[in-house]
Amino acid sequence: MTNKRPTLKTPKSVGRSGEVEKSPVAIKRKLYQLVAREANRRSDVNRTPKESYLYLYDAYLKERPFQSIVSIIETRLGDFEIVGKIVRLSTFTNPRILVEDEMRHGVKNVVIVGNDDTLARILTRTADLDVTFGFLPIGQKKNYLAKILGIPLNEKSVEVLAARKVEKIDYGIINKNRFFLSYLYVPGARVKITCDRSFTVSPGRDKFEIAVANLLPPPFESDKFVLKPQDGQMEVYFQPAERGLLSRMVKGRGSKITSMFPFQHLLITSDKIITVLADGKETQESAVEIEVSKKKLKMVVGKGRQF
Amino acid sequence: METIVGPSVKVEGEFVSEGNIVIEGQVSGTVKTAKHLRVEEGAKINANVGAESALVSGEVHGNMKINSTLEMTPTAKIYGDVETKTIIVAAGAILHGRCLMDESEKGRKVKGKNEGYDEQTPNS
Repeated sequence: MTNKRPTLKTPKSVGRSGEVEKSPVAIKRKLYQLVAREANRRSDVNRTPKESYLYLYDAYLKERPFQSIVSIIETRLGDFEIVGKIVRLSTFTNPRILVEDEMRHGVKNVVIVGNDDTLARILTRTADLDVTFGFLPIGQKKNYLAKILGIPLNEKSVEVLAARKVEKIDYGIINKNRFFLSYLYVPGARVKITCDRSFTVSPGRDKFEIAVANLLPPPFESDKFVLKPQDGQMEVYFQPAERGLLSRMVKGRGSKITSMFPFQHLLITSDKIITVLADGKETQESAVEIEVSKKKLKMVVGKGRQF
Repeated sequence: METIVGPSVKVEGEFVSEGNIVIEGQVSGTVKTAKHLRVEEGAKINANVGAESALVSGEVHGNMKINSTLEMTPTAKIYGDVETKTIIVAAGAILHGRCLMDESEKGRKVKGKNEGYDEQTPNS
């Protein structure tokens, strides 16, 4: 094994001032200084307050059909001078740790690039953080929230982000550990519901479907849904679950009418474990406590928003 | 915002709402709303009720205090005292209890009109 020391050529720039340092130690020191200065310069580019944007890209954007859209979007972001650090999400990325870390470095705007699933994945963990969220919906599928928020799909969404119209939106806290923005759904279960700690609602012996709606309508009786995500309360809807033909003939269709209560605090309890679907994530719970957060989510929205 | 209590639902406790309430099921405790209350046929309330106005087609066991108008349809049954400004009772409706009608505002209006008339009429 040869122990050959690397030889360093004297950089020409060093000699501009007329002083040429010849000793290898001096050259090495100068080189370290140059590297450090370059690193600081790059760091400054990413950390200036003007460009305190963090872009979170969903993993599906690597696929071929979306690459060209992403490329156009990045160019347009450059035109509007709102470029920032890009982080590509993987299965193991913890959005909360990531965003909190970037906030310590001055990030004030977090832009989620993807679809409804991406938005839900990030916001269910970060909705309470003190940053403004933006959304760039990419692709035609699973982008219902974009329409509600008045954000056009693909490259046109950059204009909405640049216009920076920020609205405060309600979000719910589930069992004090995660958030939801669109809706929560409990398929057929025997439950007892306590609203605002003042009255209880018991649906008798029947199984009930329950939905709590905020930004998206519930999966049933969506025509009754009134979109008011800024009024500081949410609505719980419930109706008897689908029964068999015989039961329907005996009991009639009258009992299928949906009940609806506005609330700020809701407790759903059951003797058995119930399935809870919130913002696309399914969990098994014995009790679900939902609270409308007093703190609101700051979100960039478009002129065509539906609220 | 409207609150709807469906026919197969039972509500217990202090049921207070800022918006309209529609009751088709059973409610016991207290019912209060700053707006309109509608008690559908087949609904049963075991509670004291307070509302701005009410339309009753079901059964109410308890006292009702309605600020403006209480309307009882032919299927309505109220077992309790009623306090309201205006009451409309259809044939066939049942009211078991005292009915107190607050005419203070109406009285003031009538009095005001009369005073004006008196001032204009000659003393002769």
